[in-house]
Amino acid sequence: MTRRAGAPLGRVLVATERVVAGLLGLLLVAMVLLNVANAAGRYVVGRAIDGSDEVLVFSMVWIVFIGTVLVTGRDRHLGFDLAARLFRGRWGALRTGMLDIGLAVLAGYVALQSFGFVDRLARLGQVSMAADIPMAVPHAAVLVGMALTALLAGLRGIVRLAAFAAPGLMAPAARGEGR
Amino acid sequence: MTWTLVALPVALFLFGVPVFAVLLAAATVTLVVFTTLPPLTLHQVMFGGVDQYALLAVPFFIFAGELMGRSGIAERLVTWVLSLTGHVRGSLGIATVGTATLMGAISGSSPATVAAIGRTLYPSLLQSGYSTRFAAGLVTSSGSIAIVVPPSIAMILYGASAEQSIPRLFQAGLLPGLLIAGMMAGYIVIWANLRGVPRHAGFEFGRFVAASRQAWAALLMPAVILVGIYAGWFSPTEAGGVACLYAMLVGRFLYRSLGWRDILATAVESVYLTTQVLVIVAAAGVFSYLLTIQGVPQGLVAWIADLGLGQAEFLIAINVFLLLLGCFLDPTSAILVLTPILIPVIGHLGIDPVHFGIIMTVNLSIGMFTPPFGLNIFVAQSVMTRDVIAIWRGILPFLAIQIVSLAIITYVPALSLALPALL
Repeated sequence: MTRRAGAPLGRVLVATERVVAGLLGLLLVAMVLLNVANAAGRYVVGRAIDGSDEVLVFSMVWIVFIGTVLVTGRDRHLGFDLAARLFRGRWGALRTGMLDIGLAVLAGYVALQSFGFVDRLARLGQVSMAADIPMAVPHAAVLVGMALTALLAGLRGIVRLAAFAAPGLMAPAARGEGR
Repeated sequence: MTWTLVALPVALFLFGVPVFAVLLAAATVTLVVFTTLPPLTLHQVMFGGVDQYALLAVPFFIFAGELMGRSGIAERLVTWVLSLTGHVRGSLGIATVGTATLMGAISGSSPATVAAIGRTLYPSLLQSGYSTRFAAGLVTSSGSIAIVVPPSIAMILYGASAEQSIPRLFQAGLLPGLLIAGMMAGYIVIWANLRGVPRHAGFEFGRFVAASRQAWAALLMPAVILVGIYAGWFSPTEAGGVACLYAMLVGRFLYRSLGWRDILATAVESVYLTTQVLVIVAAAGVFSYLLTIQGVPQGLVAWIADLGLGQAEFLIAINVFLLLLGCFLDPTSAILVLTPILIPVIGHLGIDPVHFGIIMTVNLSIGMFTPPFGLNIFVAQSVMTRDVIAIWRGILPFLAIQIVSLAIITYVPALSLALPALL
């Protein structure tokens, strides 16, 4: 993949990231309002909103696992940065490429296990205790988050390893610089 | 199997693998290779790690911290603290500790506090003549006060695990939190005098009144949060949501510093920060689960109990153990794993469970900024864009001060138990 060929894909990914991040931001604001409404409801109408606690916690689970895809995409996971200083240029591309492939394998394996679990829950038709939400819905956050993380990390790992193999062809970001 | 739970994570961490992936990889290898547990356990424990109502306080308080930073609330708090301390050499450093304490009384989240003071005060510290190392160490270590000063997420989790009153734990945490802040302020004054850091303007009553007028809504925020919790208007977790709404309304309508787009942008940034923290909590859940399944913490505690120690010796041993554990495990996991195991031991030794809750919280709050895995180090790294080694070096003197504070808190139980007895 050359820099030219990667540009449209990059634009699509950036636009998608912006939309998804915006939706998660709106979800967080909605959670704040629901949380306050729930507390206020106890005084105004004498009761809390049924199932609101479950909705809040499940929303947080979705934020965390979809957020993991976004954080992976931006290389913003928390970690030790000494290795990034030691490995630069081509060798940096090799290191970050290997990290991405390793993360893809790990997240892919977790996604595979999640698929089995979510599938089982969906067949059982289990619902949450208060809000009657099918339990497959919150659990699917792990599946979707880990599967997309695996896909994203895998694709980027290939690009970075390609940058290691043919350093002249790739943009600095693809070589994992500035990480 | 020890190598997969100790050597493998250390090696991966040094290679620059993200912390969440380090913990998840170590746990996955251990689970698949060395246990007969079904691999579906990975999903169950990861989901269970974040499927906790108490954890809602994390995104809420992070969001509140971000809103405080962007809306000017944090800036007004800093100005107000500076109007009180400006005449002292090292006043900006003291203001950093003071703001961290006030932020702790609002957010209860250590990473959120580091994020907020790192963003607002770190550049000012550098401009005022503090060295990079000192400023980075100060900001990173100040965040730990937020865990000890009520409201505190760690205390909520301890109270739930040990079946202790959360409001009593909050009361017990107040004086120890102030002690740590006071000890840190004392060190800052000594350091600033030795280094000749420039003084700011002296104390002027007019300036104090003006700063108070500017900051009244910001100063009201901790009062609303704490009174709301103690009056039973809302739970500590709901307090996080109230803090967000308060900061949004003040920033949007009173200070007029936040537009709707700014609020959304702040929420998006909070999503990133929340994910950075909670995905580690999810992975740490699996890692802690495997440590527990293998009986590692229980074995260590049993070993300590078998030594036949008295109360004083046990407290030294447990402090060392918790400090070491805090370097590798996040407080949430450590509290949830260890509290049910330690409660019978401390009961046997006649230690007050509320006092022990404070000892445990202070220990783990120190772990929040202790290398190599202290979460606040990575949060500071993220907001200050400094490398980890520079932050580690800056932390060392503050680590020593907080360990001295811990010793005082451990051996003077009245410091923790006086307020709950009075109130």
